[in-house]
Amino acid sequence: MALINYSSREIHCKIVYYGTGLGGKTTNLEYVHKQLSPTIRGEMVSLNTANERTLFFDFLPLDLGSVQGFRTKFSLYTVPGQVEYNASRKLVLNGADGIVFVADSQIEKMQENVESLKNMEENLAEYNMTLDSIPWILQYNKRDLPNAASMDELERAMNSRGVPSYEACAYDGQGVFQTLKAISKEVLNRLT
Amino acid sequence: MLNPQLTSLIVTTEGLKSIKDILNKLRDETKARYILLVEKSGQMITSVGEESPFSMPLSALIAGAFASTREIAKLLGETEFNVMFQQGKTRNIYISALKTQDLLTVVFDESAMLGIVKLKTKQVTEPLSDEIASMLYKK
Repeated sequence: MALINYSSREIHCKIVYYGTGLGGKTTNLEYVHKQLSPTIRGEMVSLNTANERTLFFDFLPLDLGSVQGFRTKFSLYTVPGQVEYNASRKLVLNGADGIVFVADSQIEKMQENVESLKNMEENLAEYNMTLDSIPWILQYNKRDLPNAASMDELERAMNSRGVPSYEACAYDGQGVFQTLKAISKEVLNRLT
Repeated sequence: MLNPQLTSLIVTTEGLKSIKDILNKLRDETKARYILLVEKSGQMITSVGEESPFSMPLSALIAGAFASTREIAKLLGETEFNVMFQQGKTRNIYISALKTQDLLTVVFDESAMLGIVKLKTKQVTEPLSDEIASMLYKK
């Protein structure tokens, strides 16, 4: 659902980071915000609970250069991961052009990851979208933890469609930009 | 070549001009500080009046807040609340949903009158909706 403005020659796209609670979605956005120059990124807005958990969404606008003479502007959003905030999660997905599913690599989070992916599929269906109709990629976060499941196990559990997947430690930035670059490329490829 | 088939809204130069004409007239009539037209996914289509450095996050938050009230309406057994008004000490905001579900957002201060804002905003929702609908790509 990109917005293409021929008058200002800009393309606006919306990317949503989805996944379980405490999986590292907000950390991804915070790292991007911290690393990029203020000339190409806007201020990050976070709607949090008192204990710093995402209540509604985080929002970060970025300017990612030009494609075919159009400036590409991306809005990054996260959703609240906790199960009870599904209504908010569904609202944030409205109009998404691409999704990064942030899976928590810890072996004990495997079931939660699978359930969250299923939940994402159900919420997409409300907007008449499927995992085959929208560009999405996987990020296996927290790869540095000792209890991280193997990539084979994660791929088997999460990636039956064979979408691009990336390893990350969002806390120290590993894989964060690789993921962002991959999803923005997937989204723009759909438009050209 | 950009493929319009995979997009939902293609803003053309002519379309944008018609929209801006409507918004500028609305701003003159209401004495609003500025007016934002926000697409339902939270992206700003255009604005008139004072330039706000926060128009992008403002658009995202407006879409979020409005989407949230829409869900509240459903839980109360309403089809939707189609307007939302927030009153501050010096600034007020009046948001009205268009037929296309996009949001017309009027930011005004004490020099404007709420009644006029309500009336004039209501009068332009139809022509604005038609302008946007004509730029929507239909699958």
